[in-house]
Amino acid sequence: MKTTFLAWLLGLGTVIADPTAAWLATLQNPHAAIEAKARACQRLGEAGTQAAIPHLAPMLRDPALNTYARAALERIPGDAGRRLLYDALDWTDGNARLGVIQSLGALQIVEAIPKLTQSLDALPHSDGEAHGPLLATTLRTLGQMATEEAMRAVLTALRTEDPKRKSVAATACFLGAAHPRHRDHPDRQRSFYEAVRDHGLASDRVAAIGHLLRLDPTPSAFLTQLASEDEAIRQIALLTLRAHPSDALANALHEAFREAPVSQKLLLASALRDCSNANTVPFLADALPGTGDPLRQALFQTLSHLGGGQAASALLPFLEVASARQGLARMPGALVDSVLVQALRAPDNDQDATWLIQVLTDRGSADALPAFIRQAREGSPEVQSLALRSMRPWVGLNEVPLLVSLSHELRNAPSGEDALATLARACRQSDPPSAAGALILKELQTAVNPEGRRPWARLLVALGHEPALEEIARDLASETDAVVQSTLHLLGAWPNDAPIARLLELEANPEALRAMLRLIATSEDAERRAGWLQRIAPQIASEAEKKAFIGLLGGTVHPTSLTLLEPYLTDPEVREEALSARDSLEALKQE
Amino acid sequence: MSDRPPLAASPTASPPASPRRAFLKQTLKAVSASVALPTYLPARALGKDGHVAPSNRIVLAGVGIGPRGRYDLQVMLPEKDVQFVTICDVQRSRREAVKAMVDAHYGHRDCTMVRDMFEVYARPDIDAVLVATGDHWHALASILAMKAGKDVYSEKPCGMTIGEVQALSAAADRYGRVFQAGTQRRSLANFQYAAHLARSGALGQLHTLHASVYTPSRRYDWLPAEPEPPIEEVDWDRWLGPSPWRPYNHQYVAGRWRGHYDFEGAANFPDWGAHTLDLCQWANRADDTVPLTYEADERGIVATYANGVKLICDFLPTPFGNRDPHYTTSTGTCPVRYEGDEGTVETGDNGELVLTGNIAKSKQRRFAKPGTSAQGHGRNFFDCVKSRSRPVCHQEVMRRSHIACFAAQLSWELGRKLTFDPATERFVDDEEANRRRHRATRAPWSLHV
Repeated sequence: MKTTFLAWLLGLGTVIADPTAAWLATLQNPHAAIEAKARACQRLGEAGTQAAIPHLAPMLRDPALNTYARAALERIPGDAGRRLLYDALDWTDGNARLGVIQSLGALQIVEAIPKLTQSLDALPHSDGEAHGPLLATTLRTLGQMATEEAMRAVLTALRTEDPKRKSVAATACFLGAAHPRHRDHPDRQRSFYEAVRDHGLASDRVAAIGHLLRLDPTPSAFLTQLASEDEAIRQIALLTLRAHPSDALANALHEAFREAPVSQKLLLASALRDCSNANTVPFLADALPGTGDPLRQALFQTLSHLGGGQAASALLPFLEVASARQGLARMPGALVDSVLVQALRAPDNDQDATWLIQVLTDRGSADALPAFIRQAREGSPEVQSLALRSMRPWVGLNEVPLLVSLSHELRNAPSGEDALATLARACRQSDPPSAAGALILKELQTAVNPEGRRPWARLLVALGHEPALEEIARDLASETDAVVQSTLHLLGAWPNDAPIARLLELEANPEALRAMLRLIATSEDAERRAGWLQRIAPQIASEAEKKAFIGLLGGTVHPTSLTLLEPYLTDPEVREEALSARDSLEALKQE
Repeated sequence: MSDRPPLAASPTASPPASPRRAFLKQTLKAVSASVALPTYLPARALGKDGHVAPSNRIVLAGVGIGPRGRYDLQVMLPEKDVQFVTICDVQRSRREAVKAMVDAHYGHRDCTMVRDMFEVYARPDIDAVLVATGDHWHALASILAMKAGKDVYSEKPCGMTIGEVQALSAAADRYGRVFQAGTQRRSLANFQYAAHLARSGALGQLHTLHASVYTPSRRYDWLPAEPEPPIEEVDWDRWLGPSPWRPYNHQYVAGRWRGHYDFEGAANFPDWGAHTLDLCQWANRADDTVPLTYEADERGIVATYANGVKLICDFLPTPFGNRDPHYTTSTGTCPVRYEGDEGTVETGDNGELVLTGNIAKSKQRRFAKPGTSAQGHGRNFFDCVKSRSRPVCHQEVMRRSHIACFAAQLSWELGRKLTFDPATERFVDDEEANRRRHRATRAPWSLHV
């Protein structure tokens, strides 16, 4: 035995050397708690033997324990449990007896059938309330056993005038027909269903018709019931045919559709979702033009459900209808992507292009990328923007040159920012990102003025492309203060602390200090952070700088931090923050 | 202990299907004989201003609505063609919480509260029921609803044993009702696409399917007995329903029934398994069958289909943490992986697709709305209620994927290899395993109604 259930029990220490002996002792002990006895029954149901059966007998009468006892008796293999349940029919009552009858059915103890039919005969016909549960349980159990004798009693009950008896007998008929002994005898099954159809209550008659359709799933049988005046029968026919699709039935549904009134067409369109053949999609495509709602909606749904290139082509002319677009977005099949991509190559107008891009985006298909690129280059500004946004999941190193070129072209267009954002995504998704960084660095190097350099510098900063650091830092030497300030701000957004060394070379200024404070926070190495903090400490002057500096000290577990914190503990401007940082350091050290 | 007997389990007369609609139809016919009125629901006229006319709305009730049920309701309430009208729960606090949520959504105070589900089932105006009770009530509450002519969306696991899901499936067939199991991942784009790759042959010859599951566990102890609250506060006897009696403790009704043998089927296995095995069944085009053999070891359970494909149920030691070595943690909870001889695909609740092999780049997709939302699944149910179609997780799909869960769990419980016959839905030459396909219910409750 491997690590399975019994081994698991042993592992929990819940099983002693001979577990069943302990459980039997618990059942015999009059002072044992109900919970202990219940647990003993459950365990005996899993590991007990025939020896346990006599000990379970008294529990069958116990209102709290009879279900536990039955559960054990139903599970312990062998005949002793079956005999006990058979006998218990004579000495149990109330719910305990009902439970015993249920167990007789579960274990197929057919020897009990004469006793059950006698008790059924003894029940008064007019007093359903008092004996309802016994009547129902007995009849259902007879149905579950389904011998000839049992079914005779069930059919007799079905033919009475008592509606309660009729209803339960119908259920028993259904149970009997489903019994394995009748599985290969459709004539017998049919006789039970026909009996319910002819003698049962209305809802049971409908159920019987459903069963009869399953036995005889011919096109004509389905079409007859689909045309019924009774809505319940139409409903059950519709549901039942889904489980019996066939080529012949699909052809029959096509034929019926041609001649049917709209209400019937709706039923048939829905049915064709689950019962179709190779002709169904062309058939429905032919039916679409000129069709109004709600039938058109039903046809959209069916085509969407069936999927494939042909169905997609049929829905394409209806792009202006939201449900058609939803259908295209959900439709299965790679050919659907091809149809949509083909359509996007030459859309009739901007609105169609927009809808096609939206549908392809919802489908999440990488195959759409070339068509998106084309629209990004050739579409109207609105379409360009949408195409650029939609292609983002798919762009990588291959698309970087093209997106660079588009970013140049669209620099002053409304979609310029979308082009740059998509390029940023392509750089991030490049493998490796440094290859994209190298391409962008070239753009930075060839840009002629600070305004032209800035977009490329932003991309390189976002990438943290270190070979570009010196090139970006060149602008720190600009004579224009705004350029210097904006470069400092940009370097402060670097994803790691690489620019700090370069910034420390500058003459002290507040923007550079702010950038360094931000950059130090990106480092997780306490030794390195402490080193940087020590070097910038002399520059800290304003209250805001002090607070930011103290915040960093509080998160840097290093002896230097306490030393650097010391002067601020008595500084009235930031004393509270310093004390809090000291507490934080103490807490972090303890962790 | 309460000596009050449970109410009779079987309403004797079921109302005919959708009598409210039938009544409306007859009335409309009477007043407007010259107008050809369609008999199919979507054909009925829409109301003004884009609102769905009352006669065309699906009237929905909830049975047993706790936190999960409220989540379901949250995504169902915005559906314009659905009107939630009544909450049935054995706990007053839950009834009131749901009423507050529903009334706030609709901006009125019309949501009614009832304790007894038979009151809901007897109402002819109610078309469909959301069943989100504890696991031990799912099957019976659904069966009784369908017998009463209601369509059902049931939270998973839809039953506690093989016998329960068989009875549930038979009831849906018998009464011609629309049934949707709450295994909503079949309605989510990333799981749909992963299954499509497996089913379409894009992975080559499929050979192995991986389904993540909890490591099975169960407990038999009772929580300490507490005085039973008044029936209007908590109807403890009805809460127990078909489960064996045990004394009241407030923790059970607050949701801590989980893990207890009597209230949670199959040792916690179907909690994820109902989703992940279901997805594997789908990927393997096996909705009409189940694996033939099941064998457990300390790492999981290996099941084998007739077509030779292996279904490996991986016990995850930290389901909400690191899922190595079985799965890529980034794909999120409930991951599945399908392996073919030309590539593999893994996906989970984060919506990411991890592809390997020939298809790694060519078939990659990124979906706009990953996640675990039941919205699309609920919509699929409501569409089917109207069109009388079978939802994506209809009763047969549910029955077989649940059976695969239970059979796998039984191989763990019995500690031996089991062989299952998908045609008879019985274990082969194994009386002990066959007897464990059922659990005794507390009389008079019975699944065979």
